[in-house]
Amino acid sequence: MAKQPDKEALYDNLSLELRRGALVLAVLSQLRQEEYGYSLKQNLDARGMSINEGTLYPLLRRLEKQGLLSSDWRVIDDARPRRYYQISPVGEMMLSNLTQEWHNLVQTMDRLLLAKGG
Amino acid sequence: MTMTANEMIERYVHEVGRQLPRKGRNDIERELRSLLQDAVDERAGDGQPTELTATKVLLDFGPPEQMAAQYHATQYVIGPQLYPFYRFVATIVLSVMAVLYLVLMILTLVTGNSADTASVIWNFLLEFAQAAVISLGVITLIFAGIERVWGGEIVIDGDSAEWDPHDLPPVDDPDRINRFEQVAGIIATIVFVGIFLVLIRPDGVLAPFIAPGFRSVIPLIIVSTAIEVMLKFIVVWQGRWTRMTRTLEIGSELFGLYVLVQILTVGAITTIDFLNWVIRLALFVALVVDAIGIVVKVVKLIFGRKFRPQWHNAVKPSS
Repeated sequence: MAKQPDKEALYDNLSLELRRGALVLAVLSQLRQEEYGYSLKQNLDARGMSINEGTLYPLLRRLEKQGLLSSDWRVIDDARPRRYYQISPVGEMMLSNLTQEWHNLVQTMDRLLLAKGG
Repeated sequence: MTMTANEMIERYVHEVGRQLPRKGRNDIERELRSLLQDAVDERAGDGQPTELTATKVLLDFGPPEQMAAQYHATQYVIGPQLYPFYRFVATIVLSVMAVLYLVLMILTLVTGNSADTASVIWNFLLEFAQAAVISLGVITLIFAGIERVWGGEIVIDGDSAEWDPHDLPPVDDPDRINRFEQVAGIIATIVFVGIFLVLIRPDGVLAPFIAPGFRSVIPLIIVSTAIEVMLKFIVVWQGRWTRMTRTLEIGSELFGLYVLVQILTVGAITTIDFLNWVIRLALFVALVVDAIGIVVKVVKLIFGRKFRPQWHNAVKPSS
């Protein structure tokens, strides 16, 4: 018999799954001006979107590989060299389309959830 | 034992990098190092980063295995696209080898040069086990190489853009072929006939047992095999039986029948007397079965069901 996951773990899993799709949108939205990994993480944290390091940093690389971000090693203010990321023109286009999609989704979900509740 | 924060960072970065593909590894390591240093510095505030600071940061970053896994896509020695074909080739090669060793063992036992039956069997088993392990290893290496070079690009039979639900063949489609089975047939035919021809060469192991008269029909056997193999290639290429290939099949089988008749009428097949009769009887039975099979196929071809368009499921050469 399959072992039943405890409710807490199951909830964590489901909520992670739910958030996963929004991560790309969240990251793209914050990279209109260039950021390095750590500053981006802090930015997102401050705005209530905290993404685990093990997810965020590899995601940046994947987005760059897909052409949505561009990046560069740079030294700013005599700090150590850091890799700075910024949204690319393709990324801008995707962001605007995905934002539209997001609003539609929220509206639809609201309708569904309210209909269920009321 | 205490470590400096930097030492812990280095260990972590090294552990992650170790699990990444060589390509891009240095750059990921470099970035990861700078990210960790940023986080450690931030956590330490104005003070010196300590082992404890680094520990907390590393706990946030998570186990190196997980981090590495996030950085690169799942890697396979032999991926899911290639695996069925790998298993298929391995099965064929091992089966062919098993049959070959069995035949050689029986021949060794029958010709009776060796006194000890048990030791002959034992030796063949050992040799087979050795050969099997080596062959499997070689096949695995070859496939792992293919996976490494073309791994991401292999898509078997997928053309979803041009897919039309109307193309779905009926559930019981007698014209559909299983490409794997057909290719298996081709390989098995070539291997068996090839081995047979090698073994009966004038200096081959079986040469002493082959009657001289039989050699005159060998060219016919080769031609018949070649026709059969070519036909199977066409069928594999088109993906299904068509009226043309079914007709050609009857032609090929008629020629095979002719070759069988030649073998039966050429006289002695082997120099071992009692085997001669066994083989001739077996060949005669095969002849009768084949003849009946051909008649059935002709009747089906003339009065049977319709064929779907000839080029329907043909494999489109990729451009």
